[in-house]
Amino acid sequence: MSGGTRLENANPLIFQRSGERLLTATDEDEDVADPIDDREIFDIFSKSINDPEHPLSLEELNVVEQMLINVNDEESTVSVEFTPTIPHCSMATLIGLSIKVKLLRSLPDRFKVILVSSQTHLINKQLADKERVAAALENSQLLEVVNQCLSSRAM
Amino acid sequence: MVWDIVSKRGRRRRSCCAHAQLSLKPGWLLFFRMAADNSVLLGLVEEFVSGQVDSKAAETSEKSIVNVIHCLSSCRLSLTSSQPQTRGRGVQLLSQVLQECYSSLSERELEVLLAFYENRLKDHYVIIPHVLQGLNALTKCSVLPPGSAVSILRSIFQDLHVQSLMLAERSCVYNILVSLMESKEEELKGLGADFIYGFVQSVDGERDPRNLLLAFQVARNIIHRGYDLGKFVEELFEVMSCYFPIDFSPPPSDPHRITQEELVLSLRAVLTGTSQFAEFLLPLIIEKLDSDIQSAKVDSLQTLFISCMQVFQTASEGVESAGLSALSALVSCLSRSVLNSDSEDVLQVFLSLVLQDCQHHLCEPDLKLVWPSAKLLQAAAGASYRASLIVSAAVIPALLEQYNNETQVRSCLSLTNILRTGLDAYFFPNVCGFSVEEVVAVCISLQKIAEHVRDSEGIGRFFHDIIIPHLLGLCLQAALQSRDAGQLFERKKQHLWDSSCHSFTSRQVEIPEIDRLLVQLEDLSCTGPHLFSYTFAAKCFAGLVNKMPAGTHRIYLLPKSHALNFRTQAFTLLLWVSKALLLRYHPLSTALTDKLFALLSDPALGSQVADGFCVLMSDSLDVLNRNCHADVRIMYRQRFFAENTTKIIQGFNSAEQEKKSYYLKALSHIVSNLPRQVQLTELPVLLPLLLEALSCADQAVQLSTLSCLQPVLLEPPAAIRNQLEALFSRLLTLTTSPAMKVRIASLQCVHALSRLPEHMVLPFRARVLKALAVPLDDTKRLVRMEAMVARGEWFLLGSPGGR
Repeated sequence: MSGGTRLENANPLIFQRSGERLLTATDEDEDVADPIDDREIFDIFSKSINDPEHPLSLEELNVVEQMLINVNDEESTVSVEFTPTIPHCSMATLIGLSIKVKLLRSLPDRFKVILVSSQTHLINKQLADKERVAAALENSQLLEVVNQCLSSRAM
Repeated sequence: MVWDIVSKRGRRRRSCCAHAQLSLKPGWLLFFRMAADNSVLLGLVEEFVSGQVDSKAAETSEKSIVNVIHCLSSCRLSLTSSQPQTRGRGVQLLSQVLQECYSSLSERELEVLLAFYENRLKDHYVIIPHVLQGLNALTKCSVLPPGSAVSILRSIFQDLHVQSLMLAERSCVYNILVSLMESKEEELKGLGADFIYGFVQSVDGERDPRNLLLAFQVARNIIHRGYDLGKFVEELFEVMSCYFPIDFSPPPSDPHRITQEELVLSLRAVLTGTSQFAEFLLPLIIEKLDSDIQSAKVDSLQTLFISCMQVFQTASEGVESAGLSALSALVSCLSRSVLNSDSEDVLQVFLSLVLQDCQHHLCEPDLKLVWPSAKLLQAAAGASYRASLIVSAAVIPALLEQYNNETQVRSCLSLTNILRTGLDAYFFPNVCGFSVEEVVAVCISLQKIAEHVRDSEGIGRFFHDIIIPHLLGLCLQAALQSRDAGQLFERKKQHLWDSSCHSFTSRQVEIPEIDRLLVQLEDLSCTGPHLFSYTFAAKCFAGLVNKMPAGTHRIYLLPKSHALNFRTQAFTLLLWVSKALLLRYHPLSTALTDKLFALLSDPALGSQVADGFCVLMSDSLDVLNRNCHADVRIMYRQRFFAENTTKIIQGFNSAEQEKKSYYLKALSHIVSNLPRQVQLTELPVLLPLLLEALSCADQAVQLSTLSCLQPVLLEPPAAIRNQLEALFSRLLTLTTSPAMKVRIASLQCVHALSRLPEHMVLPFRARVLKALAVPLDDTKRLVRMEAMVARGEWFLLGSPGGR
């Protein structure tokens, strides 16, 4: 993946970063439990995943849209349907993998994650396969790229 | 030719004909005989003269000279009749004709006619009305011969007693006067005092309102056009002033619709028209002010005010200052008047008149009038609380606008004088019935002005010398007064304090009677029951102490002996005074801060004292900061810290378990306010203490320690390497603290630790990742987010592609 002379997606459409989630009074109330909701999942991505070719957040590139996130806190399930910026296979796989990893690292263990790509259906099966994902992450080069995607811009 | 004969004769005759009553002079008769051929007209004239048919004859003899002459000739019989009524009818006809055609008469014709008419003034009284009507018409001519005006008036004044005439005749006389004054001013002035006297005689006793309006007009003309009043000043004044104050109820059927207002204004213009009347006017007004009638009072006041305005036309300072004192006294008097629900607020009415006039001048580019207007306003405002509030409220917005433009220094000074006197109004907000909001609004305005005048030496000094002591005194009084008031009032008062503090701390200032002020503040801060009052008193006190010159000795007896319920207040004062002295490195500060440290163990106050260290170390917004020109030495925090670290540690070590948290709290406040560099260099010494603090059960301590730890961890010193195990274990424990804030803060610290050199922290990675899985499922979202961010960083630590 490294050193490609030509960017595969040179001009992604950039979507406006949706504003920071507003704090409400209950957010700071110790006694009120905040359920995990779609926006929270979305914010996981909007803050820290980079499109490797474009140092902007995935949200800005509209790779992942909020509506395509479905979380159920009680049942501990989350499904994310993401739209890669270009339907090209290799990039889509990478993005998919990054998203999956991020979710795994960011959610409590109890959650079952279902990740699908809206366009490139081929990778869905791969992403669903835990062992395949784990094996992929043992590839240090792959891991490197994934980590690079996940490196927070803010730091 | 005929005319020549007549006029010459007429003239000659006039001078020696004082007593001819009944017969016409021979010259006239000659004339009439020669022009006797118009028989039609003659017939009509006869008809007119003998009967009641007025109009036909007059209409017939319309607008031509010839007709006048014909008329004259036709009237000759009647005019020469031995019956007064007949003569009267003849003159009446003639007069009516003249009224139609006077404008086309020539000068010589006028001469003749005037001679005739003047002469007729000596005739029988039934004729006089018609004579006057004729004269009225004649005097309107623009080509009056020279000397005729004087002559007419002389005749009128000598031959008539005006007040014995009927209303219409008197009107004629006044109209004649008015007309002649219009066209023959110089000539009339030549009459000198006789004219004045004659006029006075004519008016004396007049009662009809229409006539009075005319009379006032004449009087105004006399005054404003510079007629010499001679020795009749008082007479003229008397004859006019007897109508003051006007009390007039127009009859419902009055066709002329004259209002009282018209009369009032007209008369007022006369009475205030000249400074020569002043000595008579003022006593009169003062007398009339006692009247029970509201409108009389108001009239008097307004008249007085207008005359005050005139005061500034003169150059005499004595008169000016007397006028101003009078105005002041007046306003003061008015302010005491009792308000009924249905009566006008006399003060309000009066002041609105004053303001209307003066404000206009204040804002004019013509600065000549700014100063006098300002002085007037000051005199008015200075008279009473109510007055000053009314005046200030109206003037201040205008003032502020003026400050935005270039203005003269003098006028600014006088304007601020007004404000000063207005401050006394705020003495007892409750009593005066004004809301504290209004008071506060003015204080804020003062503050704005203070900002504006900051750069101007003269005004600034004046402002601070006068305004600020007033403000301070008033604040104190207000605070002392309201000691028993409720909480709501307290909050309002806080605003008052804020703005006044702002105002007075805006610059270095010499405060007069500072000792007394300090005593009062101290008293208030030690015994005030409400948080705001004693806190602000303490702050003010401290603010003053901080700026006091070196060498002033004040021994503060620390209030140990105060009753229990006042210890908080006493402590507050102690705290703020300590801060004041600490900021400027005063030697006494050590004694005070030692006391504070000692109080950390106090059973009742310990917790407050610990929190108080936050006050001691951090920047205060409203007092004792650089904006208020407080004496703040650089690095006072570092110095304090350096001098007291040992003390704190010792105190901590020797304290009972329950009290240790206070020491830690104090320490964390001190450390968190230190500049970063100092924190870094001092951390090795403090780290054990801070770690101890992390184990402390007190959440507040935990929080403050965490918050002061976190920035340090971002650039950690080498010394930390020895403490990592303790640090990690403590922090990770705290990520499950019952307090949300503590969880968040500790997660942030864990996050910060991920930035330490990899070789130092890598060993802890697995443990951290495992531990952080728990807060990922925290009930609170904010905690979850922190955990996610921290855990994400720890995942990247030491991993390919990580940072």
